[in-house]
Amino acid sequence: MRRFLVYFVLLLLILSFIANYPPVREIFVEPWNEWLAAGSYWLIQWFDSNAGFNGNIIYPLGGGGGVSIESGCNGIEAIIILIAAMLAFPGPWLAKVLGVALGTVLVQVLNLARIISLFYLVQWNKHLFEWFHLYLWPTLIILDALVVFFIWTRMLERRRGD
Amino acid sequence: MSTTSLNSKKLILFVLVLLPSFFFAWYMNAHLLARLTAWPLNAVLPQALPEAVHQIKPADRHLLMLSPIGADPRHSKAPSRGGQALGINLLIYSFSIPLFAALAIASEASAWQHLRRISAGLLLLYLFLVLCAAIRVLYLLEFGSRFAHVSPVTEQEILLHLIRYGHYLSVTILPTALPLLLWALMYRKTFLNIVPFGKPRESSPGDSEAKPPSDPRP
Repeated sequence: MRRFLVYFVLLLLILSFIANYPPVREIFVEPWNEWLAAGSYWLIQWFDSNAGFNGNIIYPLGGGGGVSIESGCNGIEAIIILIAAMLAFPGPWLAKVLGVALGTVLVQVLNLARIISLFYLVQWNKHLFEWFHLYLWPTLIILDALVVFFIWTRMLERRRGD
Repeated sequence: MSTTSLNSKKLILFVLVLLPSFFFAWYMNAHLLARLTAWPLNAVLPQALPEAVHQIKPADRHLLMLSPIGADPRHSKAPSRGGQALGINLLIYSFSIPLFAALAIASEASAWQHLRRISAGLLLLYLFLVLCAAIRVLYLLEFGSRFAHVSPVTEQEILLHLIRYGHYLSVTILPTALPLLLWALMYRKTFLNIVPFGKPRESSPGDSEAKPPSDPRP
């Protein structure tokens, strides 16, 4: 376990450095934010046509506060933590790649729910918006990543047992 | 259902049940945390950066940094003697505390072990909070728009990159990763119950840690 924790911390530092590196932010992170805005907008359209988006911003068409998707809101940090944990954990590489891919999808599904809920909260109550945006949702997203990691290690255990 | 899946479900459910009350307790005591954080920062930063930092003081649940560097007339928070006052939101770093506390209480340990481990964890998270607030001060001084063209902390590129990277880590990654790391270190038994490290497990009820394959025990 000690080796796992050491590798986890090292990978966390390396992956977060890469994610914060300006060319990576420009080529990957900023377009990712825009895709998230587009995806959230598309989901909102299913039940509310009073929304628009532009780049990484989603806004209500009738005026009022919108949300801008930046670092810390795009789920990338939770995915970095999940990737670091999966790569540090002993197991076959194919399982790690599949785990990272599936984990990314599951974290982003909850992240889309976060963005949509914040879009409505900012219009309704700014104090509650701040609470959910800065403290509650990051906690829930990381718990989601933790659950994904637990499930993945359980699936690895079953495969070893077979 | 395997032992590991039951343990992980119980843990997560317990954490979700505990989180609301722990968040409430954290928020109600955040002004105390602000005072405790201001004290070491105010002892060190004005001495280390006398031309950039005049004082760090608690302001409700946050900190206020008073800088003697000239005020921007567009901003109205300049203190009467000149310079600027900048707010530092401590809650974006300290919300790791309720998450750690919930994970700890949801884990297996005796009351004395809980007391020891949670105290140690809270102390480490407090030190983390002080460090993050210090990084935030340096970041504001170097990269804040109110200090444009001044560079009051350092002109060395590598130190500027370190401040920027440290700020990114302290705001986005560490507040969520650190409580998980501390919990895994301090509650190893619970962690190993849930996360098997590459060893085939028997499902006997008394087996709370994975055993090596060569172990002769039945």
